[in-house]
Formats: sequence, structure tokens, C-alpha cells
Amino acid sequence: MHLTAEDKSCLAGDRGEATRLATRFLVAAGEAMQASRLIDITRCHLVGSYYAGEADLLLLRRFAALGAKVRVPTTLNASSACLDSCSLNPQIDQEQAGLVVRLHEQLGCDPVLTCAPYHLPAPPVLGERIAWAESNAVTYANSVLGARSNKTVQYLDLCAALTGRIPEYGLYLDSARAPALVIDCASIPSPFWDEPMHWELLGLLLGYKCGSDIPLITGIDVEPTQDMLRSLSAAAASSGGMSMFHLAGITPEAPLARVSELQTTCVAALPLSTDDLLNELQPYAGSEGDAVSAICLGAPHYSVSQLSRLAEEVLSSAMRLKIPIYVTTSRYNLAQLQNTLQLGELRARGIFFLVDACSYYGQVIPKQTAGVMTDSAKWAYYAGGNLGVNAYLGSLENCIETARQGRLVRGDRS
Amino acid sequence: MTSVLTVRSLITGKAHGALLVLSDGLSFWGGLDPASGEIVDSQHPQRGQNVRGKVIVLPSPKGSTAAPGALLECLCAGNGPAAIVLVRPDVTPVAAVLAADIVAIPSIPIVQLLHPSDLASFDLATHALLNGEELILS
Repeated sequence: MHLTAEDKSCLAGDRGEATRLATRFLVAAGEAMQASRLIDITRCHLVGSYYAGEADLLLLRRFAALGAKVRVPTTLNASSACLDSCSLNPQIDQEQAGLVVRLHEQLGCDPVLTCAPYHLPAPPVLGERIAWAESNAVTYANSVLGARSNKTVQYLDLCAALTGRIPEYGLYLDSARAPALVIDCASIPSPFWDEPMHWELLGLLLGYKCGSDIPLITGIDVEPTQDMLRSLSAAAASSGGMSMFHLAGITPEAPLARVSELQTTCVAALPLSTDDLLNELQPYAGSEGDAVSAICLGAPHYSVSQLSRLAEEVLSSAMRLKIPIYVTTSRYNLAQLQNTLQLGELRARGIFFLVDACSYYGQVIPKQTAGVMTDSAKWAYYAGGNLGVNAYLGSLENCIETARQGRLVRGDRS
Repeated sequence: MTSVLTVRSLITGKAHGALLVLSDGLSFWGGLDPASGEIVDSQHPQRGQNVRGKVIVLPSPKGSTAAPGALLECLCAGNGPAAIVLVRPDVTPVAAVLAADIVAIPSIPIVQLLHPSDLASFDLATHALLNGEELILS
């Protein structure tokens, strides 16, 4: 690997022991991945922000004891517990999670505790090289923002933050960002894409079909909202480990010229139909009337627009909720709505606003006695295994109606 | 029958142990119990097998970006594998072992096969001896 004079100086210990250890880590990881050099990054988002065990604490304490400080703005992913006064977590969870957060704060990290860092002010821009670790955020950043990041694994992310450097491989390179196959959605009628949940299904299916290969999606002639693109990113990153997609006419690195170029080199485009997408719902469909004990929204953390839409839908009727709605979001997003959303009224109706954490971790929500409905494919994909519950996937309207009836309700259409 | 393979060293070292060839990628986070070294992913073909002290072969990367923390925990508890043989490059176990080194937890070697077809050499072998870039299967 080619190292600059500054890299060599860091390796020699001229910038302190913490920088020496972090740089040595980056060089060894870079050589393992056959990177040719280290490059500068502008910001980091760390995954190790939740309590994972004692070994992890050893590492954080070692760096803190050495006086290590991050060299670039560094934010923290969601925690293992909700740490504000609305927390439902047992105290031990809050203490352990709080310790991990404090150690990161000593290193200079910003404890935003959100899996949706793209909602924070001044998100990354086209071409910006970043080191993010949360999978949905990486897929969104690469695809929708045109920033560049691999799915930076734990400890590599921390060493990147402590140095402002990262080994250059994978999605930092132009050659790795070209699509490998075409997904043709031309047979799907435009109104189908009005329903946010259908973008979740597209994400699930793309993950299964493409794995970690980058698809170019063609034939969608509507302009999706940011929330829809986020749904697509999160679902595809869950089911297939996808780190990037191109959506023709929408995402910044999918200009039309690339489409024709690719279609001449590709074996064939893979056509998707409405039925293909609706089939993805089957594992999470359940049956009308199934017992449901809670609704979980907000994986990734609910956006300001999603929170507003939820409030509007719930308050559109005087009906109270028979089962609770747990919605996870960031403190930042919730604070923006503090004065506009009728939080008191919504809480009185049975909505729990939980910050910092995700409801499929540990004991962020109470143990469930029946199935759980969600509007997030990512939540449905992971929660069954993590929480041992039946997860049902539906539109926000389905979720709210299910909360009102206290049993699974589905409309005519998914 | 003994066969000798040349491998690419990602984390250099020596190790030997019983072979455990996984037929699917293993997500260390949620898929491996650090307190025992047992594979607990309910969907994994080798569920119930234990990685402790073995030379494990991983066919493909899998799992969340938090996976290094889980493998570090496993190494710290003394329940980690003796060595890891990768078929495709994967930074996850490398990050765990480099982190272990920083906090003085004993390291393990990680190597990558030069050709995926080298995997056929593992079919009849039950034991592996790794020394730098030489892997002896018997």
C-alpha cells in the first residue's frame, strides 16, 4: 500500500499513541482488502454506539485513556436503549448503554444516537467521501445523495474517525459504482408507486434478487419522496446486503446515458411485475383478525414527514387505540415537532415516542404477547428473530386501523 | 491424504485445529454465541456446531457492520476459532482481530484462498495446520 509522509509519521507515533494504533489498524485492514492507499474522509457515523459486551468497553477505555479524539465530525448510531425520561428499558440496559455513549463522547463523538444520520443538518453531498457504518444510511448516502461510503464495519469506523482516513476500496472507487444488472419495472402502473409500502416491497425483492450487486432500476416514471427512497434503501440493505442502487431519472449517478450503455452490455434486463412485488408481502401478511399486541414504526428512525403523517392519520378520528403504537425516532426529529405536533394528545391516545434506540433491540419495548405490525420491511425482516414475535407488514393506514381494532386489519390492497 | 495449499495471509500467524467448513456465510452478530462459541443462527446449516479452537472456513461475507464486536467478544471469552480461512475477502473478521490486538486479546491468523476452486481440497480433510502462507490439510 502507498503511504503518504503524514501516514508514515502517524505510524511512527509522531501524532501520539492513539493515532499510531488507529493508523496501524487502517493500514492492516487496507492491505487485507488490497487497497492501494488511504484517503481522507469528511465525516464518520459509528455503529458501536450500543452496549455489546465487556471486550468492546476495553477498546473504548483504551482509546479514552490515551486521550484519543476524533479528527472529523463523528456521529453515533442508535443505542441499545432509550436514554431519555420516556424510556421503557430496564435500568441496567440504560446504565450499560449510557456508559458506551459517555466513552464515545470522551473521544469527541456527537451522541445523536440515530440510524438515520441523513436527517441531520447538512447531510453529505455528491462525491463526498464519508465512513458510515449503518447499512440503511450507507445505501441511502451512496444511492440518493451520491456520497461515497462502504458499509464500514465496527472498529474500522472508529479508527477512521480517529484519523480522518480510510483504506480506498469498494464504493470509494468509480469502477465499483457501476450497475451490474438492470431491473425493469416498466410493466408496473405508475399509481402503484403512490403507496409508500410498495417501496418497502421493492427493496426486499431487490435485496433477494441482487444480493450485494448494484442494480439499475428502470421503468419507474414517478418522482418518489425521500421517505420512499429511504424505504427502498433500508429494505434492500436488510434482505440483500445492498450498498447502492441506481434509479433511472432520479438518483444522481444514474444519468440516462448510462442506461443505454449498460443495456447493450447486460445479458438481459430482469422484469418485475406488480405480482412479484406483492408476493414479497406473503411472509408478513398474516390473516385478517390475527392477534396483534403492538404496532412498531420507525426502522429506520421515523422522519419529520412520517411523524407528521402519523399524527394526522391518528387524529383524523376520535377513536382511541386499543393497542400501543411505538414509534422510534431521533431526538433531533422529535424536537423539530415539539411545538407543532400535539404530542400530549398523541401520547394520551396510546402512542409512545421512543428516541435513541430501535424497537427491535433488547427490551426497548415491553415483551409482546401476540404479533406486531409494522410499516417497515427492515423491522419485519429482523424483529422475528430478535424479539421472537410474528411480524406483520402493512401500510401506515393498515397499522393505524389495526391499532384501533386491536387485531390485524388489512385493506383491499396490501 | 495430505494436501498443501498456498494462501494469502490477511493476519499472519500459525495455528492448527480441527476443520469446520461452513457451507454458508456466518453473521457473528446474532449468529454466534460469544459465551460458548456455538453457532446459534437458526437458519445456518451448521447450527449447533462450535467454532472454538477450530480452523473455520467462511465461504462469503455476511452480517451487520456490528459483527466485529461480536467476534471480539468471542475471542475475549476464549471461545474464538483457532484461525479463519476466507474464500472471498472480508474485512469483518480482520477488524475484530485488529481490535483484539489493540487490547492485548490473543490474535488469530486469517487467510484467504487464492482460488475459490481450492475449496475442493477441503472435502476429505478433517484437520488443518496453518503456517503463514502455507495451509496443510489432512
